[in-house]
Amino acid sequence: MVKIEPFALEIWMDKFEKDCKYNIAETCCASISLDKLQELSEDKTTTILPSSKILNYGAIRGSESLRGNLSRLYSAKTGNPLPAENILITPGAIAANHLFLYSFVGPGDHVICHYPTYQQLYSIPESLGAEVDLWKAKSEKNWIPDIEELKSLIKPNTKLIIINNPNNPTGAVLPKTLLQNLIDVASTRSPPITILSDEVYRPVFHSISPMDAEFPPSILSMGYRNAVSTGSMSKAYSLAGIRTGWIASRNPDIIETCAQARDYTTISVSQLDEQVAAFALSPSTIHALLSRNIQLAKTNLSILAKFVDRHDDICSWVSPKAGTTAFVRFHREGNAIDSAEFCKRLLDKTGVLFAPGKESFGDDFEGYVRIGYVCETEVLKGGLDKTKVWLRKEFDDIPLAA
Amino acid sequence: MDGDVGFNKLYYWLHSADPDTTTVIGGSATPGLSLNELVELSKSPESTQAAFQFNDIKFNLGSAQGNPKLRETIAATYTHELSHLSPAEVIVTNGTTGANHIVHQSFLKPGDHIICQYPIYGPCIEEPEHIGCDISYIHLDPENNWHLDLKQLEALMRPGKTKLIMLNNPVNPTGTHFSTEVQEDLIKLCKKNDVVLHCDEIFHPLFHTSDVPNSFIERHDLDYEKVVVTSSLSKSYGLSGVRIGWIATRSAHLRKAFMSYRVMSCSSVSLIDEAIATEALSPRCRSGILDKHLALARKNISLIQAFVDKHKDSCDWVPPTAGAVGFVRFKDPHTGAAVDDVEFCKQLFESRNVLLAPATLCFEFGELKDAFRGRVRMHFTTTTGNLQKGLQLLDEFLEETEREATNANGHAKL
Repeated sequence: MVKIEPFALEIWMDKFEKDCKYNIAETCCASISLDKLQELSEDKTTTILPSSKILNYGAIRGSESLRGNLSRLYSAKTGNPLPAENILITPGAIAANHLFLYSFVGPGDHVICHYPTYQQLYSIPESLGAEVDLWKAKSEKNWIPDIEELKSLIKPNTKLIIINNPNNPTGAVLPKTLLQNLIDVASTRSPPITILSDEVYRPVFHSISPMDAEFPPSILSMGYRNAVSTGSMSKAYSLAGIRTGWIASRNPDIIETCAQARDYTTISVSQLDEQVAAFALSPSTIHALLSRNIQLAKTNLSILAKFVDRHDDICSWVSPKAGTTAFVRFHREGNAIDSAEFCKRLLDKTGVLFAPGKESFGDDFEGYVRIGYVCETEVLKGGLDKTKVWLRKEFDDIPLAA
Repeated sequence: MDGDVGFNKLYYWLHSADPDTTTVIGGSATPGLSLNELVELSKSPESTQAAFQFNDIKFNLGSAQGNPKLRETIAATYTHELSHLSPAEVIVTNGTTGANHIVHQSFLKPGDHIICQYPIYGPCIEEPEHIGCDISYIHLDPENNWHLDLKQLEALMRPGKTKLIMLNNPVNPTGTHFSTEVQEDLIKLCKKNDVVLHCDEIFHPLFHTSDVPNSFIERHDLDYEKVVVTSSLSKSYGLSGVRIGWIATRSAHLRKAFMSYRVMSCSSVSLIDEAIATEALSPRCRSGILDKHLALARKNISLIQAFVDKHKDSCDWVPPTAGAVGFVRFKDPHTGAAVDDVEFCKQLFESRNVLLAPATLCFEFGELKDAFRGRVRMHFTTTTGNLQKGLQLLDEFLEETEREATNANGHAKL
């Protein structure tokens, strides 16, 4: 049996999210319906889900229109278009990450993974028999990891460096210069090291302008062939339930290897889900959809920021620049509280769900909770109000981290 | 991944030609259905129509094990007086492929001994091979209607070492199935040796004779938990574009391992697809869909049988009893020797644009070379029109080949 570490965050979410009253742990921009999607779109006439569509396998690697739309997005603002053939559709980004890692990583490989991040990104390489080292970001450095530390982790058998940009849980953005430095390090090794960037939170850039000199392009737009980007419709596009994600790379050999392995994991993806995704990413819909979500992120972030400010005696954070997650540390006189106890008691007394930092992201994160703040504004407001009241009454009784 | 593997060969072979100009009769899926067609096949079209209203669903992530209503519906298809399966014993997956992947990846490790039915659908061998398992093969007997010999199977068992037996029933590519008696013996043998019985039942319940056995999971009475079946909507239900499959097992221990792997690799599945699957498998729709496909299969089997009868010197087959495909063997009409099936299929494609799946390329793995010489996989759940066209062209091809052979012989004699 492949030894799989329990996926603590997913286990937590699955256990509690159905019954909680205020889900401020999950990380999608507030989900939408097809009616809402069509409302946002300029295209009012296309039937998003044609009931006459024959539901056979369809185009195995993904529908032409979906891959075409993604190609357009990856090609924007670069001199170098990314062909649709370099994009493979998967059932979600989780499946995209899994498929790439499954087809690429094996025993004897050394993998370096950005941290903290979505546990899958380091647990799967471990379970595939690779040696994994964590490239740790720290709050004192605004959650931007240090390139010199990365260099010190490189070994002769380093095959893959994994980053998550924008980052879950911190909301940090790895800036352009850092990405360039990373590519310089990876490309000058022999053989060159491949970079996987989980870009599932692109393009929820709510607190950094595209005009900013350090605004990060996709890893595929920086002139490095041995780079892979994964993404999905779940976070920026509010369509998690359609389970549509992708792997993209400028290196066709990587795509081909993934495509062959894909015959063993999924073969093809849902025909109707692809219709929805293609529609959402089409020029007539995407701008309004993204605009809705970035505005929602901005509005909600300022509500969350006020909450954090008002409680600055017991919590601290590095304000997120992008994505939908915030990593907030709760403490008593500087000492971290027990994050699992905090979350459990909060849920129990108020129905508000946060994700516990230590359990979900590692032992370094005692005292932290992850807040998914781009839910419906009313849900965030309601949840934070309840939390405020609860904190006044109960915070002092929460045990400190052991 | 090694590109030189059998499944990819089957896949690439079948997709190597332009679908607009090629008559493909080597595949295995029933014709795809649309939502409109599902409504038409339903016993209560209005309810089915209502079930396909997706406009106001919010696209949150679904449930980690699969929508409870869907699991209830799946479990119900395996439940009757003698069998009971609960929704908790079902895990929803991305097709049968996703289901098999989870079972293998979460349960098998390098060096594990498994016993695999042969022939079988390629990935059922290739995935364990890729994992590094030590595979023994239980050969179905081509001279005896592809019968599985329990004594031979028992001889392959390594007590305490064998981890899993891999089966595919109804059998792809032979179109045969295991009788109730063989099923019972298989389960009892696995129980005796504490071995997991994994049966890929993607073609269940397409049974074409009066022998309609239960699914392996329905043999509750044999009191063995470690039976695992995988299946989906792709072959029996005409909904391969609705990526819904499942794993069913009564072993809580195995389910825990499967869920651990699933949560890391796929999370929940499509909400729309779950809704469609729930309706398609419901009492309103299920029998209508199956009846349609069983009638199609019956008609098409008789067409192929007529073809085989007409060309009895050039081909033979074990008439299929189940599933969607049959194994037709082509031979030299004068000598009776099996043809080179790969060459045969290539020439057929080149001269007539008809695609069959040659067994030596698509179903032979490592063990036992030349086991299926002369055999091709022929598809009888394709549309009747498509099959008729294919058989017509095949007919012409055989007559032409025969003429050429006679002429050649004639010339040689001069």
